[in-house]
Amino acid sequence: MPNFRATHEQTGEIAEYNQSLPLPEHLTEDWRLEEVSDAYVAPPDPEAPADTRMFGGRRQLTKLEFVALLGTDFASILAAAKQSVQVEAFVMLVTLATPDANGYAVDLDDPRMAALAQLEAFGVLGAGRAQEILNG
Amino acid sequence: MANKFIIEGAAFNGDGTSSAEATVAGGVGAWNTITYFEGATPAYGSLAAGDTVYIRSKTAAGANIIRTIVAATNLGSLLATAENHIHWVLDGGNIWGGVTGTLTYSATGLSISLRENNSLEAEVRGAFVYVPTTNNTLATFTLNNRCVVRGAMVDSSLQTTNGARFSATDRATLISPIVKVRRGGAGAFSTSNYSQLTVIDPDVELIGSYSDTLIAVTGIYGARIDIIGGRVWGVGTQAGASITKPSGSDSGLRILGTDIPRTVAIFDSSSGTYNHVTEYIGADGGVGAAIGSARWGVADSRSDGYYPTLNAFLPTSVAQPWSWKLHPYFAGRGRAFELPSMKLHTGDSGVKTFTCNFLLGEEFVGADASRIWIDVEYIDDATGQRKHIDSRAKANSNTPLSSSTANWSASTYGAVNLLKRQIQLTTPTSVKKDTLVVITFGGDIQALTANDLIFVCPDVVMA
Repeated sequence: MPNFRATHEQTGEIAEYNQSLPLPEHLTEDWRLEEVSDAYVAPPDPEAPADTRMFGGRRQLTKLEFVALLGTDFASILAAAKQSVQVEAFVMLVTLATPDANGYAVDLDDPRMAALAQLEAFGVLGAGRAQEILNG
Repeated sequence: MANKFIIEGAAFNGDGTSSAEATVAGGVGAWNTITYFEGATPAYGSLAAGDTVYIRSKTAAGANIIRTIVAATNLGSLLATAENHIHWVLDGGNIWGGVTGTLTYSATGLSISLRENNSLEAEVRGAFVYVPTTNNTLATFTLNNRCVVRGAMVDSSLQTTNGARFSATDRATLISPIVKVRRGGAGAFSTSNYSQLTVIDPDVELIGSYSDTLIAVTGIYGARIDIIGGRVWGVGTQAGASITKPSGSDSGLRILGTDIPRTVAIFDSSSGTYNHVTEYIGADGGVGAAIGSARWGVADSRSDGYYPTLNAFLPTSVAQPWSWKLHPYFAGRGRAFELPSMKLHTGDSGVKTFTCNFLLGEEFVGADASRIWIDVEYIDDATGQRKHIDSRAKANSNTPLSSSTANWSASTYGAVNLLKRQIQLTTPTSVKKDTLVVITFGGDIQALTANDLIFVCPDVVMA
């Protein structure tokens, strides 16, 4: 049974109901009529190769997951932060990040993660580590 | 390649082959579920690469369509290919006269994406909408490789602080998008690392007054955004917003003829040392008198045989062996080098394979199939239309260039050892007899030393 939501264009009045057809008055120009339903979610492909990345390729992580992704480089970054304000600023950036509604605080696609490339250029991370971390 | 049709909520699910509602299940008529646009397999009929699927912009009951995202959602079909996209068209009244509704994907911070090789067009600009309903900097409408999206809107009106954005992985194109940005440290447009996004005629409204709002933000490792025409406007343009921030590592942004108020800064106040180029031309909405300079390096040839040669000969009475030496010392993402050549196909129509041989400096770091490629443009025998194919591998795929055993005159140039390489590309359809085929050798990899050379044989083999 469809879920309808009708909004009056002038008063903002909202009517929501679940029935096979909308009310005829809601089909007039005075109302904006919408039919709300859940989008399809494809089932996992059983033939797809297993994702061996640490978090299955998930681009959004909790802070602890991000630390796990850094591995032994976490200590290297903290040590470098004691000597460089720029490195410390990156550490503080992650520390101060608050989780979004989905519970994740770190986005590997966030442009601010470009700082990892700088850490590699400064020698804090080994060659190629920035790309490895950003790939998850 | 056929036209298919979807009428969400119709009484019967047809075989998709008609714009009319089916009268029995599986009968001739439109499909009745938009899940086929979301990746489900049609219960009747079929979907194939090259199809165009028209979606009625209102349900059978006459309502605008809202789809609530419960998990990260991938739109489009896996059946689409690089040579034959699947085109999804949100009808604006051309198929179903007088029906001009909207298709909205509503998300509580979740993202949506369009699968690679799929194209989406909203015939009425803004009729396809992605609306995050909670504050989330991660809310993204992602375009995957080779996607083309026209007329779609990302709307952050329901967010109170953060803003959603369009983003591209690999190479994608946005035409006439609308973006309502509440507050975007990630921009209205962004790219993943290694990726390139072309935006034509955008309408970007900064609906929130925040000084840290950005318009376009590239990723790293060669990411690039090109914005052509359109406008940026809204209350946010008076609140200290900026166009971009340098993202580092050979990234670039070009803005050509986009109307942007002078109160919008080019860069935000962040600092850093990055290899980033921003070009900003004609911000009054006009291109003006800009003259483009597409310098990537130097290509030259010699007639004394000093350069290694293979099959090509100069068109002179002496017919000296001939090749091109390329030194792309200023090439990069968005500054590709191109060396065109042509073949006249006089044989019978048929599928053809083109082989381009070249020599690569042994120490040329990063030279793979995503950084060096060939484009082939030919006339399709069946349709008479021009078709374009290319060998360019997906960015960051680390696809190696193929080795070659071609009998070059030499495999060294002075102290530089040269590796024999080749690129082969086969047309997916027949090449028309007595037509011209244009083969362009190209790439965007930068020569970092004097030894980073490429010698190209301009006589591409067609077989």
